Amino acid sequence: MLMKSIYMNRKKILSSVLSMMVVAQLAFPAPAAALFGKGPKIPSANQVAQDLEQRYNINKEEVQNAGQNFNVSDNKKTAPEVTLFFSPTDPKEGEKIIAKAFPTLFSNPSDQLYYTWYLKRKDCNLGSASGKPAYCNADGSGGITVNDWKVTAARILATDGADKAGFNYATDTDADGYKAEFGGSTQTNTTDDWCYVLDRNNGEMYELTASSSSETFACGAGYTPACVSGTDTVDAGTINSTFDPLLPTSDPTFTTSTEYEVVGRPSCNGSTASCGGNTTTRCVNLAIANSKFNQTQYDTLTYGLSSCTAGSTSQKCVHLFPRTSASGSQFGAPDGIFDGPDEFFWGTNSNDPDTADNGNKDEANVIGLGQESFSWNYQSGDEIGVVVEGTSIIPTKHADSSNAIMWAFTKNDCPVINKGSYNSTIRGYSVNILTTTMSEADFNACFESNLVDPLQGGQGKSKKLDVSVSASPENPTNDQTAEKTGDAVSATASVTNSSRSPSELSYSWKVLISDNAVGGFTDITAALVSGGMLASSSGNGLDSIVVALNMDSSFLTPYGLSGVDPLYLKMEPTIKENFSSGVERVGKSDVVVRVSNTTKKIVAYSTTAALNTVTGKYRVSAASPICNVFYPNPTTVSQTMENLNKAACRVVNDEVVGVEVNPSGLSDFSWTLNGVPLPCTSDVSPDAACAAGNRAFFAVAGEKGETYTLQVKATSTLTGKSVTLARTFQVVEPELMLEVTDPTVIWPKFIGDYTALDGNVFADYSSTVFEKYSADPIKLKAVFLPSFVSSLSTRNWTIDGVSVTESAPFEIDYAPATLKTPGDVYNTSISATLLQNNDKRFALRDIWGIDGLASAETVIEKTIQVSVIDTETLATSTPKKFFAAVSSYLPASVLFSFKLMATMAVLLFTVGFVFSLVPEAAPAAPRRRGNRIE
Amino acid sequence: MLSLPLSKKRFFSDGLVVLLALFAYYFFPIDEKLNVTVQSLVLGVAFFVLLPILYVKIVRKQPLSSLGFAPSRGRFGWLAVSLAVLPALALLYFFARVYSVEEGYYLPSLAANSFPIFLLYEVLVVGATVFLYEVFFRGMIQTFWLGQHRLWAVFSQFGIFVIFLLFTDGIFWQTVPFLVATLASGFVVFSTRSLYYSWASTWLILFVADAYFLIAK
Repeated sequence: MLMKSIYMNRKKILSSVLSMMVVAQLAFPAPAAALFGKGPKIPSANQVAQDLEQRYNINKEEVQNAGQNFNVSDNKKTAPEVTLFFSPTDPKEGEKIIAKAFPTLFSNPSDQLYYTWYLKRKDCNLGSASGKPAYCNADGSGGITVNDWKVTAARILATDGADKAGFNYATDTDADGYKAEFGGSTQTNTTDDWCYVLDRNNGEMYELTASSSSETFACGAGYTPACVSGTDTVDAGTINSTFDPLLPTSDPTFTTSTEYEVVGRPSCNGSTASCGGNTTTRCVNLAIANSKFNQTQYDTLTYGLSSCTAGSTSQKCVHLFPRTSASGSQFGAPDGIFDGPDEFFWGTNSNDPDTADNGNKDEANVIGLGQESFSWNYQSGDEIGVVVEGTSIIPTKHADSSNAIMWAFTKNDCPVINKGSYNSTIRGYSVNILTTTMSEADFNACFESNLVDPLQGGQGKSKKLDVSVSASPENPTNDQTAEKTGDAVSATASVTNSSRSPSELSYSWKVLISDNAVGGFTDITAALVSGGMLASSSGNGLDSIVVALNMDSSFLTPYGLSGVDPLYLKMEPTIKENFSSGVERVGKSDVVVRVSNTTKKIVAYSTTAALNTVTGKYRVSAASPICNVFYPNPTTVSQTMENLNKAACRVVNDEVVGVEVNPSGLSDFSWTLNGVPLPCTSDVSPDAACAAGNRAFFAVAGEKGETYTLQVKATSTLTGKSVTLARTFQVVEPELMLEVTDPTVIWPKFIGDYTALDGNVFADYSSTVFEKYSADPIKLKAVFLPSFVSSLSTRNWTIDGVSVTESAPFEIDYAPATLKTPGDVYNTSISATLLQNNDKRFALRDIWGIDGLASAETVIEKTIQVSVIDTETLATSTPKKFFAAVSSYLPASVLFSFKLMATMAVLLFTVGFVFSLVPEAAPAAPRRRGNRIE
Repeated sequence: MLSLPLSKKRFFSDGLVVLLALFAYYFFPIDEKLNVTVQSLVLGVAFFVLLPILYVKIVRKQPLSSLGFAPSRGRFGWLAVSLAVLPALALLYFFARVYSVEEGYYLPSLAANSFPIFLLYEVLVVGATVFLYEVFFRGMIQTFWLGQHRLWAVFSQFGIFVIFLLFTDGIFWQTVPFLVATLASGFVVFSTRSLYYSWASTWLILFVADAYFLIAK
């Protein structure tokens, strides 16, 4: 940018420097008196420059930099360029693809430029046409040339897919010829068409010429024409008072001399050589041409230049348009004729001036006037290119209005060859112009190297997918025990430069394990999958995986990692993006996760609080474990939820949580909560474990969803190495769920089946709608989540607005006074009030400064509906439900009678059985009492 | 194994039936969708009539006359009824005079407002209820089970009836005529060995009591 600025403003800079020199001379005139004795001192040029720098705060280095840039600014030209974009970026076979050219740094509008498109079909390489598809030889002559590629594209542009079989070429009634001006269609009536090529290596512009000759001067051999400038020098000699000071020349020591040097090259006007300004036109001996010389040398080694011959050039400019053959007719010719044979060759309609219906004449379409876009049916292997001809923004050195006419290639790959130069007098000065005699064929030779593969355009500049991968959580723990409650590590891969959505990308994951983070990793992907710890390792759209860290000793032993702590898991996705052409882009990345591998775990506890009579403050103690229940085969929602506590122990606000790690084999415990140290002092807890350091407490006071990462670092007394354990706690709002206590009399409503991805089908039951038969009681229990808050609750049950007393803690067994019929609903509600006990609230205040107002009560409610159903579901009921359903159909009187008779039968049978079972004793002998026999 | 004399075996067996019948009557679940009065009657028929009859006939293989389903001797039955009913009515009259019995004595409103219905109520409902109690308390308990205890059996069945009332309806002025009638009919069946006369005496007492208190109110 700086170079460009300097180049554009070089005249201003030059004039500024000259102005400063003049000002300096005026400001510090050399007084004549200084020539005599002790007159005023004459400042040196260096001193003047320093004064100027100081006065105007000019930094010398910056000026030097600017000057250095100025010196080469002419080599920093910004020549026209063209960029191609494709849509779609991933073309499919046979699909229409559009290539759009974006030319820059042309002075004329883009629709006035000439776009010479050329399409190279697969297998249509340059060379012999033998053995290649017929369509490769598009112009039908010779071998495969660049012209064939041009013709292939030009036919598409000119016809826009029209079938020439339907055209009548016997007549040509349209006037669709077009004359192409050099440098774009706006360059009409310009006779000076100067075409240039930029050498992108040295930054020089080369003028296209057929031939050129420099101006010549009549100097003999060994002499060069030059403009010579002389400078007079005065030597004051010795000041002597005997001489008249008013006539210094009377002093024999006073002398004058002249010094000469070559300051330029003469110009040649007609046959007269001349130099501008106060210089002399001379032929100078080459021996002194590059140095200063004195009067004697001037007199002996130079002589007057008598005549000269002006230079000349053969101006040349070319179009790169397609021809009927490599050496055939050039289109866009001044004749403006595009007759029947031409129309037939291109396939345009000879009776329609605009076969392509794009507003251009047919010949204008052939030469690509304003054809910024080019579309064709893509086939795998196609390559495309375009050369744009137009007038650049770079002015020529010629004394006319011309700017350089140039070509832009898609890859700017066209070296300049056949270089030369000539001198010409322009505006009275001899100007040197660099030239090249490159022909159209030379330019055509550049076409192949500027071909672009559409798959590499736009999206395809990089063949590598940019992949990033992240993993969480940061400090997962592997469970070596059979509980299989290790953390789940998830890794997610993302691609930033894919043209497809993640679901269309192919993912292949590898999970490797090592005892260090740097190397020695072993691939355990297959073992994880077979062990049920990784669902799948590859597949389309598999942008994330979850590894359950349940690697027990038997799993780790083959890798020599049993008991090793920590472990390092490297999760490495390889992602492929496949294109229809068979081309694929691949990207991979990895992330290393540090995994704690120990049988020790952090156990969480509920707490109690009590007053420390010494300090008058409350302290806490661990009570019973929480978040430690695991149901291998959960059958209820609450059990499933409880299992989640293994991953993140759910806690509620205003609760004090105790945490402990088994101290055996460990020492020097250091607890942190979210990175903040968590000391356990006697002011916090009287527990011995607290004093020992293996127990700590923290208060939960966060927003819902906030997580606490608890970490304890300890030193293994066995190995002396550091051991880190972590556990996550999540703040939740307490929840209340209602579950059935006797599923034979009341059950959650069956909603439907859920089919998992692995094909397993799970029944889905409602949590708010339950069902029962008419005569059955409502047996429910309240389940709190987290479960430990249940001890803080007081509960109020209502059914249809009527208060119901619990039959057991947290349970009701309600027999409705009035039975409802199928279709009716019992609205069952429970309202639970949770209030932390006062001791705990005092402890929250005394230890953690949590105000009592913050630990106020919480009310949670749950309402369900119990629907009374009929017996439509007999087939799926249990035997008990079956009989219950049958009985519900019977009239109550029949049922009553049946029960009554059954009871009587049982009674009779019982008595009869007892009566017959008890043996009878032998009758006693009759006794005589007086006259009576008893 | 424990062996008992036949008399004791029968005694315990009979007592077991009585006990089971009372428990079954008391604990049998009431279906709220059916009329409670009808259910009570049906339960009474089942446990106080059918069960004893079936027991006597099937288990004990005895004739129904052993339960008291037998006529009395000549005109002695009606004499016994007279001798039992009159003192009972006198006692009730005494209660009625001394206490405000009528304030706690109720009749079904339908029967209280219509004499024919009153008669129908007395014949069907009161008659049926009395029949149940007579069969069970005077027939099964007093005659069949405790018959060998003679006069003590009268008071024993009275005591059992009192306990029964305490667990079921309770003792108040509404049930006092029943208590008096139970004692009176106990003497009648003790004298006549016939449930027919005891039923007549009980029904008479209750009918007169109902009629009296209906008029008195």
